[in-house]
Formats: sequence, C-alpha cells, structure tokens
Amino acid sequence: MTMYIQGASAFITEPGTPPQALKEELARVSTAYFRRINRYILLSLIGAHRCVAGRTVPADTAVYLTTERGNLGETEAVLRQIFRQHSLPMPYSFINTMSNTASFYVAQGLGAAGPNLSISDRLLSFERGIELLAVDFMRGRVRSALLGGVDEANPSAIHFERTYGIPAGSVRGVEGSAWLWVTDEPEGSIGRLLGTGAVRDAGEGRAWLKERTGGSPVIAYGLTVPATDREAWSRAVGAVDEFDYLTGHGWFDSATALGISRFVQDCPGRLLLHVSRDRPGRYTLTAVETAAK
Amino acid sequence: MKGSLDEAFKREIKELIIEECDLADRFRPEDIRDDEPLFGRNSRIGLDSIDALQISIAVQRYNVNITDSKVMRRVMTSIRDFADYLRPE
Repeated sequence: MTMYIQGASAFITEPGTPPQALKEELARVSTAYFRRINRYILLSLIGAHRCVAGRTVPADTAVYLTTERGNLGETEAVLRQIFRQHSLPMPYSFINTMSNTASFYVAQGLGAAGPNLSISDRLLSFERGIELLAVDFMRGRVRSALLGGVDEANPSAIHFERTYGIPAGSVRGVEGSAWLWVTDEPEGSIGRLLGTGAVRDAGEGRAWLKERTGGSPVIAYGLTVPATDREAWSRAVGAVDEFDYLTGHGWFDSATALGISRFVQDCPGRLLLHVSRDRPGRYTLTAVETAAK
Repeated sequence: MKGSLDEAFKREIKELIIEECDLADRFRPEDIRDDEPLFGRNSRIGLDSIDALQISIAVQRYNVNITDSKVMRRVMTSIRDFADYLRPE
C-alpha cells in the first residue's frame, strides 16, 4: 500500500520562545480561534496548519500525533501544584496533561474527524506512527491522515544523557513539530512514504531497502546511531549523500519527524533512508521518495 | 460594601475571569458589562462548564469554596451576581 505525501512541514523554534510569539505564529497560519491551549498544543497546531497550508483536508482525515514526552511542561506544572504547593491542580492544566488533547485540537482546527491517535514509543515514536498508519491504510480504515511528531524542549541534561547515552550539549536543542499529510491518492503528491521496518544490521538494511526500491538513497541518521556505525551503513546501502538534519536544524525528541519532513520539503526527486537506533541497539529504517519538481 | 457596588472589585473579578479563562485575546475588563450573561450559547463571553471549574478553583483566594457546578453557574450568571456572591456585604 503506497502512502502519498500531499504536504510536509516543520516548525521549530528556540526553547523558551514566549507563548505570545507562538500564538502570533499560529494566527499567521490559522484563522480559527483557540482557547485554553498551552505551549505543547501551540507547537502541534502551528506545525499541522503549516502542513495543510490553507487547503481543506477530507472530513475523514485521521490524526496520528507521535511524541516522546507528551505535554511535558503542563505535566510538570500539575505535579508542582499537587506535590509542592499541596493544592488542587488547575482544571485547564490537568486536562491539558492528557496525551491526546493536542491531537484533539489539531483535528478540531483542521476539521479532521477521522480516527485520532496519540502515539509514544521510546526513541521510535514517529516510526511507530508510520507503522500504525500503514496498517490502517492497508485495512482501508484510513485514506487521508496527518502524521506528526511534537515535543517541547527538555531542559534536563541528566535526563538527556540517560536517555540518549551521549553528552548533553553535543547537539543544539530546539522544540516544535513536524508533520506529513498522507493520502492514498497519488494526484498532486510531493512524495511517497515507502514504509518503516526493523532490522538487525546494515546488511539486513540493504535487503530491506531493495525490497522497496531500486534507487540509491540519501542517508540520514537519528541521534543515537553511533558515528562508528555510520560508514558501514552508508556503504551497505550505497548511499549517495548524507542528509544531516540534526546539524542543520537542531534536535528535539521528535527529530525523526523533523528530518523526514525537511527532506520532503528540501530535496525533490530523491530517495531518503532514515536510520534510527533504539536502546538495545536495534535499527529501524524509514524510506521516503520525493517527487521531482 | 456589597461586591456589586464596588467598581474596583468588579474589575478585579473581570480580570480574574479573563486571565483564568484565557480570554485576553478577545476581551479587556472594560469590554465585559456588569449585567451581561457569562455562560451559554447566547452569551457573548461564552464560558462553559470547564471555565466554571477553573474559576471555582481560582476564587479560593477569596476563601470561597464552590464544589457544586450548578451553584457555580447560578452565582456566576453575571459579574454583578458573582461580585455579590463573593462579597455579600
């Protein structure tokens, strides 16, 4: 089942960007009025609206919002209210800690009344979103979907080092959201999502890619792929170039979505193989082909 | 002094509602009339039950505890009514 990309967007901003600046950015891309939304929801909405870019999505469009940490800032605020201030959490704050609040607002803002999911899976949230989307496409349950990765910046250096196993400060931190609008109709598409899958090593990776396409890819790596592995990967799959989106655009927990989305926007007529690595050292690949301009 | 007779107090309540209900993009305190309905579809302000809950927590600073949502909506019919509820005398 081919998934055709109709739109792509990446909204990234410096950590600590004032909420008012985010609200003004949202007003530039949407005329809808949103109330009671927090930073995380603002990041989600800006990216999703940029992806659709003023078009109307079919009413049955699904939303797959992937995230590593969810509504991190609001959750911290609620925990502070309960445990530090020994008070009741404020209702809006409490409601906004629910993981699917942001995807609700995205659906409401864009009139996307199809299935609505929020997905998280350690270091592979965006890839899991693609997997679920592929299954739903195959079953005919979904024919149009918005697939996004959204995360706020995580200021904890300790948490970063524990999660990713690399020194804090080795990448420039940003925050934001990146989205793809995917349909089963090829007309007007700007690319194809060829799928995602897990492999043990670069050799298996080469076979996985060959099953899907004969082209030579541009290769991109997630944050946790060690520099020592990269040459082997590049050689095995016959990579013609590297797309280093982390150096170019910065890193946040949903950076895979950022990398793939930026590639779709910036690199027409090419094939991308994105390589992610989870904690036990398994690799997950995602392949995307972009249309020539 | 009854709350409804105290202009500064009513302005304070309006500011509280605007802040707690995230209405600053649409209203300033002077835009909200003392006697206009705050809740419901026909209300210009358009507060709902979640707003009522948010305000009920926020007014605890006035040593007021409102645990029944029906009571909350009744006493918050308008700014004037709410001011009198918070400060009856």
